[in-house]
Amino acid sequence: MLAGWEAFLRERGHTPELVDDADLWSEWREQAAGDDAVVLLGSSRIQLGIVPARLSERLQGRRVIQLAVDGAAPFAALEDLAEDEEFRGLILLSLVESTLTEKDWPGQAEYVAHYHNQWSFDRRVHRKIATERQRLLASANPNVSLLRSMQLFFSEGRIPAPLWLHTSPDRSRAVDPERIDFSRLTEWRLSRLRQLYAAAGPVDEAEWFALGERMRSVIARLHERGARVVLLRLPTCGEHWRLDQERYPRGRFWNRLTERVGAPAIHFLDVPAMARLPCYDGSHLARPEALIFTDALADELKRRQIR
Amino acid sequence: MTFTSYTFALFFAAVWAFQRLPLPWTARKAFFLFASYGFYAAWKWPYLSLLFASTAADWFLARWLAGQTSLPRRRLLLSASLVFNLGLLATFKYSGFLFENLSRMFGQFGVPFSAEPLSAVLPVGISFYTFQTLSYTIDIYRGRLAPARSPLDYALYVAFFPQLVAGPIVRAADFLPQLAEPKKPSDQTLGFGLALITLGVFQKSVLADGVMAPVAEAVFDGGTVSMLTAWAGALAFAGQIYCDFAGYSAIALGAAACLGFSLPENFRAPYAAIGFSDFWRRWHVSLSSWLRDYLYVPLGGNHRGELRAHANRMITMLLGGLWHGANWTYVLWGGLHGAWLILERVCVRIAGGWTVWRRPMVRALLGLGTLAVVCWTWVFFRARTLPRALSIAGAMLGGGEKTASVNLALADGIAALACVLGLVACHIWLRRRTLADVCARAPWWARALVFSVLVFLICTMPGRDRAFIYFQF
Repeated sequence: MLAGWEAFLRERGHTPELVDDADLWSEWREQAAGDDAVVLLGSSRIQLGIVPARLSERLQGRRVIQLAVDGAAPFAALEDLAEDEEFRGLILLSLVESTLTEKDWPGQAEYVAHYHNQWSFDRRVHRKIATERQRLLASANPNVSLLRSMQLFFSEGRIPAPLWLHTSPDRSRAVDPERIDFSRLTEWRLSRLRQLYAAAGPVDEAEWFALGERMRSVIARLHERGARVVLLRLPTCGEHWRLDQERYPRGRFWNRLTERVGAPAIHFLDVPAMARLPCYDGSHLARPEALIFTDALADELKRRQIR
Repeated sequence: MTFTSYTFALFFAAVWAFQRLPLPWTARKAFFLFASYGFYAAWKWPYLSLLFASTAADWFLARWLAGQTSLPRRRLLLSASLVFNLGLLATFKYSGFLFENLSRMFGQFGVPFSAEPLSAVLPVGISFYTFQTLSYTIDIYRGRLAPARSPLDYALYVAFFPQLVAGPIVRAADFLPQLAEPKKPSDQTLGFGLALITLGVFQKSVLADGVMAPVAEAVFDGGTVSMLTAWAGALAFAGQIYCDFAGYSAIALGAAACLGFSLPENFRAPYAAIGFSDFWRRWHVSLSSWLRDYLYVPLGGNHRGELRAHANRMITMLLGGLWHGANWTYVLWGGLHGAWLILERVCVRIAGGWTVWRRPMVRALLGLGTLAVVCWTWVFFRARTLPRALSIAGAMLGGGEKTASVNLALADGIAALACVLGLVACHIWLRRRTLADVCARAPWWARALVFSVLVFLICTMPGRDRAFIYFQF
């Protein structure tokens, strides 16, 4: 029966997929120690936009640790690293203006709590075996579980489509252009963004800069013990960028914030090799562009002598 | 170590293989103890010290107590055990709650007060093993139990891994005699143990985590709720908490059975209960019987008049609620159950003799009513804050929004409700039967078929890993 289900999924184009969860995050989090670690914080943009292996190669073999979490703002993880005396490395913090809100601030707190309260020998062994199982079997992915498939079959007459985002063991992600229609995805993202911005009402600048101040104090704590933080603005393109700028004009938000925070900042528009990269859905990079972005980032870090 | 992790599967296979070796019984028991400490240390080894402390304290106190004839000294030693064990609980489980409430109380009078909780992390299983060690010492104080002769046996009673972190809460009188003779489980016991483990993993991974939890989370952690979504959330949580905890208990009983031990049953088809006292004879039986024997009865039980009995019921249920967690929502949940028990008692006194209660239709309605009230009361257990609990509980009584803003997929809701209905039907069927009887009577091919289907569903319905709910208590 099990072999039959696996064969059925494979026949429908499903492939083994790694599940990105709090255990996998914790597996990497515990490696964030010492002064040679380069930690990537952010959400989906940095998970897709930077290739850890390539960055490590370009930074003379430094350990690059991907701690971004899809759909969650990185500030809780930043605070956690600031509390961790063992960490004295470099943090590349992908900052998206719309996520600097009270509501979004604790976005990754669940992962941080999992790492401190649940991550243990038990979970470590479990995750290692789960990783091997997920790399071997298409049926090990919850997205194509029998229950999900049955629900979709009875409600829409189909089973789940193969995943179009692949997660690597290093937690970086890559989009599969064969499995998704980019123009439909871009349209969907734009309509969601318009709804989101419309529902949110005008930007509360006082709250935004107060949270910027909170971020500054967290970064100052890291800088005090020799760790470094670099703020990154990853590429956003076309209509998506226009909507972002309409709501958060760069001069009024990004520039003022980066001046106050006291950490170096790299904005994609200021680096020619980054500025012309196309985004497949308006706000994320596909793997070929991610490699170019990673190279450009490594060059920029070297040029500014950020270590 | 989590029962549903691959780590536990490897660990258990190693323990089971070891216990088959032709070694002296004492060596095997020592190995069980060593394995149990390893099982606990796989989570956070520093907390082993608390387990050692609790074990050692009651071992010595109980021995001294047994050797004393003077009542004041016996009382003193018993008090020492109570203070030590309840002190551990207060320090590691309730200090944050206490300080938060003190801070709020002083704040009312404009007096600033702030203190950090003594432990940020709740040591897993502390509520369970402290209750076990306490019951051991109290039973010796009451003269119902002789102290264990071997420290190895006693330490294994406290730390035996199947029941260590989330029960069942085992009594020494039930467990220590099992350590007297070498255990060699029969093939039948082994088969039943494996079936229980499989059933437990199915209940936890597939039903609780895969089907029920997404619906409960959407409703309890989401936005505004309508009457329909509130009921969907409450029913899904009723299913989730049963499958989560009964699943854990089934794995515990199954693992113990595979090693030749017998642990007490923790659930007896609770959603088929008729009335609240019946519910508490079926839900978390090892805790409710512990509370009865070591709290309700010493308070006077029902031997000091009706009013005092009501007060005792309420105190027992309030403290039972607080045992579950350091939050007013748990206290309220316990208090509501206390109120239902008192109300039931009053009704039984007034109209208990009427023959109408024996009619099948009336009994079915009473059962349905019990289930509805139990589900409504679960809201206070699950909600993170009191306002959220009141909002959902109010919506269930018709006070909700016309349209809900919670992100609940219809397909998820239907699947969860179908499983809850199936669960209730199973409980009705099992109301006067036990699973062991059903398994013993079923033909081999039926058992094999059910076992295969459960394994297939476990393998094909991977969900998000969630910690066992009772690990936090």
